Amino acid sequence: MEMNVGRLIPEFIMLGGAFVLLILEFFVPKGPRKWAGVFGMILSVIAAVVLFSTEYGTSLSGLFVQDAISVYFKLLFLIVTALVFYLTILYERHIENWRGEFYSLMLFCTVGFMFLSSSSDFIGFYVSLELVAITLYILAAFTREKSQSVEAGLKYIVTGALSSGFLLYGISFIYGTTGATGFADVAALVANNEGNGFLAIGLALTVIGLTFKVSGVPFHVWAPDVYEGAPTPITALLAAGSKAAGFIVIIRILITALGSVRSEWLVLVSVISGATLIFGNLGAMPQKNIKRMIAYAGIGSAGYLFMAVAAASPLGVGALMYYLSTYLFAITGSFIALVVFYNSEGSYTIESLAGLARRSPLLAITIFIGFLSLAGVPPLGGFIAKFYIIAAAVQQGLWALAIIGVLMAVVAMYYFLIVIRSMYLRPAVNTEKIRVDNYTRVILYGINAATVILGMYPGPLTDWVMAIAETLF
Amino acid sequence: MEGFPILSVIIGLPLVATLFLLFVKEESVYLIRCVAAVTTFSTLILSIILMFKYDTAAGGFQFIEKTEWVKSMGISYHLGVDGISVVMIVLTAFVIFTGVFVSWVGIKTRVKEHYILMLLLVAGVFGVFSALDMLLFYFFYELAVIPMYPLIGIWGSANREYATMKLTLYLSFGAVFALLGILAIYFTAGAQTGVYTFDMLEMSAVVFDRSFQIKAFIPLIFGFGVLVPLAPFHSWSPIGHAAAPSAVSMLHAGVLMKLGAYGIIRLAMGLLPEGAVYWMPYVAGLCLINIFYGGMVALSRKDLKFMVGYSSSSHMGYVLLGLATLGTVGVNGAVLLMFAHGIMTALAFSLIGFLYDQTHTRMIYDLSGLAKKVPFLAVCFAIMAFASSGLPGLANFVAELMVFIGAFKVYPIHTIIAVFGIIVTATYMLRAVRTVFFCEPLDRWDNLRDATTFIERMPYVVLIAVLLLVGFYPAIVLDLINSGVVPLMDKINGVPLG
Repeated sequence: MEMNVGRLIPEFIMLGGAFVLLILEFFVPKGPRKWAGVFGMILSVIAAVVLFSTEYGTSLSGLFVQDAISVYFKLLFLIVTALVFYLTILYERHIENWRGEFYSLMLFCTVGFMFLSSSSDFIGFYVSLELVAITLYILAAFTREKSQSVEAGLKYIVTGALSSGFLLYGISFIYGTTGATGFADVAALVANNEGNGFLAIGLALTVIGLTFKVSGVPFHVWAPDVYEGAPTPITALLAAGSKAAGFIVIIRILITALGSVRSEWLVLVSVISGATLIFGNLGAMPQKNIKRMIAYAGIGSAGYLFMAVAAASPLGVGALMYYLSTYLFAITGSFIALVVFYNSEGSYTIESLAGLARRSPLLAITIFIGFLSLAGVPPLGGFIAKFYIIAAAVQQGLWALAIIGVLMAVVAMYYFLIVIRSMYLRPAVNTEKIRVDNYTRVILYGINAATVILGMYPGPLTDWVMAIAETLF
Repeated sequence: MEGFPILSVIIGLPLVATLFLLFVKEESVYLIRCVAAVTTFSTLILSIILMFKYDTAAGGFQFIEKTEWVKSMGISYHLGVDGISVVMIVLTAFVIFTGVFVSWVGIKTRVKEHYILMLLLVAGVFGVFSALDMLLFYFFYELAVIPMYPLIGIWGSANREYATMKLTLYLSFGAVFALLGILAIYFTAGAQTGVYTFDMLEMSAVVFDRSFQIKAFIPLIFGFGVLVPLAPFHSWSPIGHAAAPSAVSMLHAGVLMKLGAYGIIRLAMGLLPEGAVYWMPYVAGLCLINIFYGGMVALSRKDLKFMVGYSSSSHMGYVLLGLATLGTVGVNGAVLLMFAHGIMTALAFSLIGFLYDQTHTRMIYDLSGLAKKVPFLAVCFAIMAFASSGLPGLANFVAELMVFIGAFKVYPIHTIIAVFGIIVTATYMLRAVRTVFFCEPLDRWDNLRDATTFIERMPYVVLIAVLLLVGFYPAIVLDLINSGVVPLMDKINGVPLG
């Protein structure tokens, strides 16, 4: 059993960065830590470059696997991390103390994400999951002077602990049935065995436990409160990063390990998908606070992603990967714009966005593009992604889900249009222009361009994700 | 002209103008308007060239452009036009060109954004009419719908926020259902032939089995029916018309409502002929609700825009009745009516808008005896009302006549009922003309100003000229329409009945 640690260099880079930041905290006086954010962004870029030179295969005695899909997801996480670091730099003034730890914890969290996408064993998977969870518990409650933030942290940790219980219990059933913890071993054993009741119980508990990470029904209730209360960069990290991390794990467990017993989990996943779609989208409609609305919309998105999982086809998995890319840009772009707005106005209510189109056309158009992409409107990336997912469902004959999916797309359009109505149709109370600094401008232009390119020129990314998805089947 | 990508240019020009306008200062209103005018004029010229260059003898799809877009999914950027699409493109070009001038007079605030959105919308519409790839079709369609939201929401009149939300949601709602149908066709055709493609031309060669056609027709007719708007899903349309600023009402009623009917022709009837044969008799029944219910509601409306709005959904009933005949004459008539109604209704909304901008009311009984003050407008309005009620000499007459002739053979009872719809139309249109222009003049309208300048008059003159030209010499567009309808009908008539 060789270790092959060479495949872990990108993870080590991020991990090293996290420790360096922790140690530096001893020597640097309190105050702004913008350099730490820049340091984190640079590290992400370096790790992304190194990522492409790592070779595929397993390491750590089979606990860790580097393959096409893990590289893709790690790339997503590194982009998210870089953008969330930028967001933190913008947001820094609202975190009074211990700023150094904030950056360092985010790096630990990214390491957790990266390990999750490479996990190939229930044990390794659970450890990585807890690394992510524990860092996010702290980060969500980081601004402890605010009761909302503390509440967010508490809710997150309580539901998180409960879901971990479900997950562990489920894993123990799967282990009990198959006698293996490695995904590949489980797959081989399950394929040769007649299904039995214990496997089904294990499966159900595991899937339900996993819904916590991705804010799917039945473990979705934490999302609105935590999204609203957590510091905004963490909300972005939860929305874009945590969701992607949850789904790579779901793909590995349900499709790689338990793909041969799809009939056992198809109904469960379909029900979760439908319920999540309906709950998230209907819940978003009456929201007044934008962060809460994004939380509900995020629950809705999880429903679409579960639909792609239920399809369990190359098209479905490719669609899921495409969706997460477009989701990433839509979420980070909107949050950067929102933080710039918050820095100037101190509010996240939809009402306070009134007249933003006149006050800062760039911020308004960024939220416009981000939200319409989430709603799935062409020519934006989100449309292509949603289209692939619906197509995957239709291909597999999941008509009920496909119909719920398109109906909820119209609902999504409704609540996103409410935000757009506020920004474009309503007059501003305070007509003063909002200044956006040049770095932010460049980043927002880049993110908007990415969303539009993913919608107008989807060919290259589609070919890439579909090729990766093919390798799983 | 060989090899000149004329369709891409027609779609691209408004987009390029949009990009250019982004960099123009908001204050240079005159420049912005000129850019919009020049752009739409160029598209008008190009579309007229397209009309004359199109070889009706050869028929089929011409001016084809094809590039791969997403290879692994079989999506391509595939453009091409047949006779029907050419006529629709010409219609769009006329409406947007005159619309730019109507906005020139009517829109005073946030001019830059207004024209950017109008041009985006029209690029989407041109795209829909020339797309030969089902996904591209949907893509352009949504591109045309989204700008409607701010266009009505920002520059609209009373109740605009509600109206624009309702309109956008209904239009998207219809579109996503059509998308489900498109996907069903895509996968079924792929499973049959082994080639997964969204290409309409390749798809139309595939023969689907009867039960699939009947099933897949439902989402398509339902989805596109919402856009037409077919009763009972029509309520978004009149309220949207009423709230929109004039130029947007023109585009909406003149062009956007035609997208649904075009989708029915191109996708539902073109790809699923057996489904059409099975379902169209039911659609014909719904058309009567459109014609009569729409007409009756129009009769009861006091607001001019609501009246014309309901009248539009009533007229779209005739269009669908023509399509439902599944015969050459009826479908020809339906497409011609789409064209004629588009021009006529654009004229109606531009006139009402001009009055509203000065009087700030659209209530029929508040406006009285205006003919003395605004003779030019009165004449234009009367011509519009005549066209709407189907008087000979105007394009609508020919079209409606053809629809009735075509329909009488297939649905005699429907036709007899529908003909009475004409009387309803004539009643409310003539009542409007009489009250608004020819009753006792009211003192408060003493300062009303007629359309005098070139820019003010031009849209009306152009639109009336088109109505008269097509009315007296329908062959100019009918030959084109016919060349597109005949192959479609051959396909449908090849279907065994039963």
